[in-house]
Amino acid sequence: MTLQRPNFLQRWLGEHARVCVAAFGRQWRDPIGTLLTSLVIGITLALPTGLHLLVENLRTAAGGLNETRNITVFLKDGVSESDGRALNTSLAKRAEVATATYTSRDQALKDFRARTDLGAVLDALETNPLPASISITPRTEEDAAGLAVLAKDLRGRDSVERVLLDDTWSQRLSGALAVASRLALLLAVALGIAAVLAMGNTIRLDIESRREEIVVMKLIGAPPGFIRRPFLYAGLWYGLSGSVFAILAVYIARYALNAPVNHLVALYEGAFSLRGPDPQTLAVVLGAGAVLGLAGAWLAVSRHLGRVEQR
Amino acid sequence: MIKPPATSEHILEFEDVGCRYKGGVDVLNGLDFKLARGEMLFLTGPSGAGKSTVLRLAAMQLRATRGRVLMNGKDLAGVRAGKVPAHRRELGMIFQDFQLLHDRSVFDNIALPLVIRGLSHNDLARRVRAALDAVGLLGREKSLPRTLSGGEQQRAGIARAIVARPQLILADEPTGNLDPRMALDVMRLFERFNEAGVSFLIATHAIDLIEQLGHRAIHLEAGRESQARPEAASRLTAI
Repeated sequence: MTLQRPNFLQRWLGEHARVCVAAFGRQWRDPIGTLLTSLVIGITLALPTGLHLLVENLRTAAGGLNETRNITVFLKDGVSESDGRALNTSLAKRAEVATATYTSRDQALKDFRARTDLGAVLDALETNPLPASISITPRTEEDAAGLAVLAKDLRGRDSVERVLLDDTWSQRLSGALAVASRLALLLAVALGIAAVLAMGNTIRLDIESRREEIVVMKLIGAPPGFIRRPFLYAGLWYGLSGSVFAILAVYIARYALNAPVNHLVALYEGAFSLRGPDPQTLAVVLGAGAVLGLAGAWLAVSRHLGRVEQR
Repeated sequence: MIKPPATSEHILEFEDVGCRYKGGVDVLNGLDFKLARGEMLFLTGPSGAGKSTVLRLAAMQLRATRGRVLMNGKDLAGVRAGKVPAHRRELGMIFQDFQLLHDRSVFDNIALPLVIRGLSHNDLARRVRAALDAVGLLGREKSLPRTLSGGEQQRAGIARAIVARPQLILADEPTGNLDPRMALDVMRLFERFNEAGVSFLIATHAIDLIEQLGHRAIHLEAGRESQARPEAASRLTAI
């Protein structure tokens, strides 16, 4: 009778599905060993992820770098409200400007009165001492040099009394956060290498414990890919479960820090709450775990599988 | 009387084969023999005579350092490392220590060569049951190997070797761990498959069995064929 051999794709998918499930089952039956290995990957991923989120939260807490780079243009007293609004409109159309907001002298006075208890003092003055102004928010991608050019251009206009561009603080903060971001990346690379080595060692031990099976497989003609596959899927599962631990650790850390951070923010009368990982970050953590697990497993099978022979 | 091979066509040929292990030890020294298709050939000789080395060369676990090993007329020296698994899939292998996987059922052990070949589940199950039936283990497919007797474990090993219908079966001391009656049962089983056309190359110390079965035997001494005929350690009539 002729044997029915499924087509290549069916065979390939069926075999992968079988080995994938079997590798998961093997780890499920060894919860302690799986937990320990997954925790190593989890901690490896949690540290740089946590640092990355810290940097992102600091950016948000600082009110956004974009806002701190605002340019305030004070207009001369003689400039009429219609001319001021026309200038505002023309500035808003510039490529490097995200938003431009005109505040008339009367509006500035009202705002000042509302924010302070100096109403009586203002009433004593014969004229409104506050100038009309235009608040400009540059586009995010605009760098310090571009803003300096914009400020210089504004200073050269007849209707402009004074231009305020104070971005020193924001530049320093930006620099510090860039250092922290780079540190997170370096930490991720260093810990990633450590995780690959740890995973490689785990898979090496797995190979040793299944030596008899590997020998038999080789003797009956199993191709290298067939023998390698269970170990690669084991690495993948370790990596993915490690990612889940990392995500859990980050959420636990966020939960633990939320109350004291909220208290601190309240003391500064701010409106900020700690952000957890966004979907993109979650996807990166899961992907990184899978890649680290596979890389470690690949390293181990490349080095050790060929050495397993019948004694 | 020695039973003649079914055909003059050769499935395996050793031509002046030498094999030197690392360290400079010559295990085979110019061995010449031919195994006809459908023949059952025994290799005998003392420990260290090179019997297992012959099987390992045929299975490409080793490469000849001199001469040629040909299977179906093809020189195995030309088989690249990546093609060794495909070469082994044309063989069935039986071992003294059975080499069964003890964490898998008898069924799963026997199914392994078919899993590797990617057979559909239905075909695989049908072929495994047929193999189990042929070795008399039908009904034990769910058992773990440890729960079987030595003879049953060897029969499971034989079922695994024949399930993919190889052209040639290599057996290394297949009766070494069995009592004389079980050993004879196993050899009778080999004969049944041999009558169905499967070639056998069997390394063994069991001279009694060879005499009883009447197949050709090559006696090895110090890595080459010896014309001296070994004496049986005991007689089958004493079994």
